[in-house]
Amino acid sequence: MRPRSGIKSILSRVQFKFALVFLILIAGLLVMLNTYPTVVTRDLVFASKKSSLENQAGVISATLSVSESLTTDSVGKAMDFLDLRTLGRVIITDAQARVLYDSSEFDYSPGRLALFSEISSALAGQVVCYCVYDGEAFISSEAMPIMRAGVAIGAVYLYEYDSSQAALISATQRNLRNISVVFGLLAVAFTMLFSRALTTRITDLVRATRIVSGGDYDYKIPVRGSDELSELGAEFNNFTGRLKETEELRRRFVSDASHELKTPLASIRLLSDSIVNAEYMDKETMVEFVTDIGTEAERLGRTAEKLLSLSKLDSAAGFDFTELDMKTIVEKTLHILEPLAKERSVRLTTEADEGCAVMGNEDLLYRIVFNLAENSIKYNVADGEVKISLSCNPEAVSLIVEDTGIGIPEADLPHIFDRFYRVDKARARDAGGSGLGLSIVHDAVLLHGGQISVERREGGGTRVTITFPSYSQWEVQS
Amino acid sequence: MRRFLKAPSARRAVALTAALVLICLSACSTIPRADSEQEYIEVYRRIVSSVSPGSQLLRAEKIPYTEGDDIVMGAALALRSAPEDPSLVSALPPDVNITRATLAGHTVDVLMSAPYAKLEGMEKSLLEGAVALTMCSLPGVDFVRLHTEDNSVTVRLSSEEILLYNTVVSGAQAQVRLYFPRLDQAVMSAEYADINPGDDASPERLIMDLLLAGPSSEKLYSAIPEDTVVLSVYTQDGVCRVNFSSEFLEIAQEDTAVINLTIYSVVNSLTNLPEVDSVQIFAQNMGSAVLGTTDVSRPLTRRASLIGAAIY
Repeated sequence: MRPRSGIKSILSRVQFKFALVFLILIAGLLVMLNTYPTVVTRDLVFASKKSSLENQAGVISATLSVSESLTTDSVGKAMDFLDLRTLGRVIITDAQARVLYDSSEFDYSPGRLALFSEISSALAGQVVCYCVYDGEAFISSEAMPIMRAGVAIGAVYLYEYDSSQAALISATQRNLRNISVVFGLLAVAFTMLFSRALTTRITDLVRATRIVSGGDYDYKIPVRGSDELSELGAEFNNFTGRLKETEELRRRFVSDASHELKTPLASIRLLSDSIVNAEYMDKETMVEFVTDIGTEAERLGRTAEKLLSLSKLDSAAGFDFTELDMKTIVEKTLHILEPLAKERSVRLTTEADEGCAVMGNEDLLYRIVFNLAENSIKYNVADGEVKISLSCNPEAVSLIVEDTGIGIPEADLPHIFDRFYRVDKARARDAGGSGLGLSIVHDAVLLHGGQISVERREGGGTRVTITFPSYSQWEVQS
Repeated sequence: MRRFLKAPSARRAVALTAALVLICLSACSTIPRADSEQEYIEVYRRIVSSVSPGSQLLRAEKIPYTEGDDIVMGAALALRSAPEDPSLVSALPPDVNITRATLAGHTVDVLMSAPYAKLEGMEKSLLEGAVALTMCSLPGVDFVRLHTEDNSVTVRLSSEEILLYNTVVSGAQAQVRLYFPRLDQAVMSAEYADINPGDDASPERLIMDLLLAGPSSEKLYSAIPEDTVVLSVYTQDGVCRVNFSSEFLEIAQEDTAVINLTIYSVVNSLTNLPEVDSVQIFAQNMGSAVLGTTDVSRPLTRRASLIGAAIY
């Protein structure tokens, strides 16, 4: 048995695993929430800026490519005409990268050399666009050549610094992050609460199991709620209840068995002591006493045999099952009981169909019929009758043993098959019974997959009805 | 203590430490006090793998030179040499050479070999930029004149005319160039400053405030008299009128060259604004129309020839 701390660590690992999986999923979701929208939005802005800058550069480049020559004046006039106000900075250069126009409000540049890499690429004939997001703003630059007759006569350079779009994205990011934090904390809290609640109930179950296996069958788990764990708890309580019943049955059986064995042994002891201690005993008395000893010994033997049968039936082991014809068994049994019946002046009658086959053990089936028929004879009246009926259909075989005897009181009917149960204790012992015969019949019937019932007969007496599955049915089932 | 020293591990440690100390001492004596004696010139190179947008095309490489040598010729030879950094390449195309470089006044005269005349476009501008920036980084050099033997191609540049990258970052904040006279010579140099123009302060006002505040570099100075206040500054039809308080007239005590530089530092600073074509100076109680040798009776236009290499 693992120590308590060991069990606790296993549970906490289950709790931990559950919480971990859940939290990993939540964390993954939150990471996605915080990165994907920003990335998508940023990429959208990049694309839109690129296209907008390219359009504007295209307009400027097209306008300037038709002017006769690129000078500061001609470019200045053209740019005034275009009246572009939206951009951060526009620089127009000639083919040597000398600035012809600069829209910057504070830095007079015409005449300077603008040795930018974008302008270098543009003068080489390429259109370049560069957009970056640094968390504060979208910084974009675009350069396009001014072409005439396939030659770059100058370059257009656009530069834009957009902090308002960036501010929107930053604000959204901030909000998403706050939502994520709150949600994450809630998720952690709920996970811990829920997994704790779950594992507490499991721990209770484990503890209850340990208590019950220690011997306290009365311990019940409190059943809360209506989910699977509650079902488990309820089933556990049923299970322990049945354990308790079984344990009691076992105890009573052992106690009854030892009592049944002790009683004849005590009689034998008494009788033998009497013989030993008697100063003088005449031969007749001695023979009588010794005969009694023999009788008790026989009874002891019979009881022991029956106990052994029951024990074998309990373990349901070692019985060979074959296809058997019930009619043969019934007839054989009655044949053996004829002397007893004649002695008690009881009439034996049979009504048996042909071809009633069952899958069974010959000895057990014989025992069933014999025990029932013997009881019917023993507890009968003078000139009474014992009738055995055997009928069958393709699915089942039915055996009825009824008598015109003294019958069984209503109150005793439910217990008639219990071990060591006797209706009239005094009378039964005289008749040599141990209260085990019907138990053997009952268990044997069940072992054959059959059913047995007992009822009082109209007009007095008892009727025992047994149904077995027919041999063909047994084959189908297996 | 004695027992400690007797242990072999301790002895080894002591011996090692002693050896280290000796090595250090000897090394110290052999390391030349280079940092205080060794001079470097900044030679501008072309960046090879540049074409990622936003990056520069020229970068400076520090080349050591020994004092006493002809620094200008040294710079010229360094420009031709191959750079150590594999990501850089000489700004001179393979067939173009600097034949001669001499310093005259504040201008370096650079004689280029004949193939220079055939250069055009970006290649030519990068060469001129690199030469200008390299030469102007030398002490005492403000201008560079490149020309061929027959003077068919002549270019005059100062380092201020080279833009290596976009200096305007955002629309709200702006970088302006302010000019202040140089301590060592009769030119002015540009300093960069950020201004935040808005409704309450026009760019002209902010520029004047910064000029009055003086330069941050130690190599520059401001000759505008203390306590001078700009009473008003506004632009109309391209002419910017600056009204100084009467304290400004104290500048007449200075050297005429200084007066000229000071006045034109104001003019050049303000004409950096595109809408300002010329600047007219006024001062309270100004009697004559001449300050020093400078005629201020009419609007003055920008004089780029007074502008030397920029101070960064």
